[in-house]
Amino acid sequence: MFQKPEEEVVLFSPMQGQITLNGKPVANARVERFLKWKDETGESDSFSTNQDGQFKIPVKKDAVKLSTISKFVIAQEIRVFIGKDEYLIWTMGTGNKTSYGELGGKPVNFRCELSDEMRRVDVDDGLLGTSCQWDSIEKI
Amino acid sequence: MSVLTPRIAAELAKEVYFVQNESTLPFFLARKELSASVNNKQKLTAQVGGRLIRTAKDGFGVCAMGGKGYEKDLFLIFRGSTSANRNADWISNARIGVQFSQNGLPVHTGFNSIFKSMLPSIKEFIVAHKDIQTIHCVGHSLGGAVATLAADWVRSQLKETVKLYTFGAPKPGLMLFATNLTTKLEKKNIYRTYHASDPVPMIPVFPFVQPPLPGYGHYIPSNESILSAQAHDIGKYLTSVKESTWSELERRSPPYNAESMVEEWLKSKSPVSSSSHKIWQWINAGLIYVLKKIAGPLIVALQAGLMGILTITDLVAMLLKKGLDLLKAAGEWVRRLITKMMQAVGMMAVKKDEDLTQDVIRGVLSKVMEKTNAEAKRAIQMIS
Repeated sequence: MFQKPEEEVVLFSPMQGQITLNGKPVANARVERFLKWKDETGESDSFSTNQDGQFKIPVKKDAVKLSTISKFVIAQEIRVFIGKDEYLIWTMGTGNKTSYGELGGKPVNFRCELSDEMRRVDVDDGLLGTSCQWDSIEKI
Repeated sequence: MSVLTPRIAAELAKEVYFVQNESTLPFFLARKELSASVNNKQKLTAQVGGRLIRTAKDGFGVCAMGGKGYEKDLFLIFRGSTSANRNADWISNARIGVQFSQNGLPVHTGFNSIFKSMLPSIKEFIVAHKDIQTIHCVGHSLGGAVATLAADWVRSQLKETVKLYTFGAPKPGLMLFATNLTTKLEKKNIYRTYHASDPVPMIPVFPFVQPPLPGYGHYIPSNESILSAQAHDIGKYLTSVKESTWSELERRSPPYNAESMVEEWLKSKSPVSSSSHKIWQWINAGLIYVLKKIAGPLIVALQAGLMGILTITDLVAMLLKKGLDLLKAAGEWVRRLITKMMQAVGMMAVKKDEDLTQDVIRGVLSKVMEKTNAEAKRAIQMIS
């Protein structure tokens, strides 16, 4: 049978910004990324904020065989852990597989205030709930 | 009251794919058509891929009450398979069979199992919401087939208006199911939307048929001469319908669904080409046309007790043979149809009626079914 070659996809575009709680930067917080795309289990990895509450999550890629009959969907979640408290700041289902495809470009001045409510953000080919903010989207 | 616009129906069918976990659900439900109250929504889960293979915990559909302007509306929105559960291989499922739906009608075994696994959640949701007046069942691909079974079930339970919106859905059941559903829901409440070059709505092959029946749904013509799995993408469907109304979409009927066109096609002397995907749809339409001439309404009833493709091939061969031998008017059409079918599968035409035995006819039918199925699968497997 004719096999489609594997294709490189971006599962998660680089994300960086500042995390605050009640306006104050949160230092040394654990930032956990969860991704699910090829099975029901998914994968997690962790990062942490620096003294100024700044965090950086690198790109995550994979090579996959795409199917048109099964829709390619990536589930993304970002959680912040401070002591016993857990904050969900980003939850997304997306069909985008290009760099910065999630928001249609690179967010400028990305920041997340943990006391903010999560809200729906309308995006192309995806569904996003987040408490993070950004000033604008820089087209790539 | 309301009917969803093609854009909203397609957006819901698309967006439900992105409801990947509990945490995304509230943001799907934040759409303005859906109710803001979280108690009004419940995520359905389904077993995908048959009872024996695996049990997926992943969400498969969403139940929700409507938001502003849709206050008394219930939404049942289903999604097809995703990369995370692609083992749920309903396309090349060798176990395709027929089982009886909740209402005793012949439906696709695989789709019905998935629907049944979700039924307790749907029931629970409906019981908790009394004042429902309209139910919108929405889905793409496999989700469209499941939405169709849901529409059938919910209409028999609630006696309220049920509207069904499907995009690129495979065939959910046999003729008796399709005609019964069409009567129950009324044809005007069935919005079956499909691209001409999408192979998925062509499968499984006859005797599985699409509702509405009679009717042809909302057909989107295509310039592509071959079937393409890309035409199956829900994003492509959204692009095709978002600026249209249902009546605009309905105006464009496929040629092979008008009886006069089918007659003309059967009568035409020009040889058929098996290289065009349309040939299989013409043959399908021709077969239904001729069978109706022979068996009339009986053809619908005959399917009720049938389980499996082999039996149906035998039955159809027998009917065609009877038509050929016994009915003068129908015999002419049987001859024309068989000639077309033989051309399409590259068989030498049989000159005399005596040579068209039931065995020969069955052989032709099997070849046609095999080829139709192969065509659709080829298009799908090229990409999938």
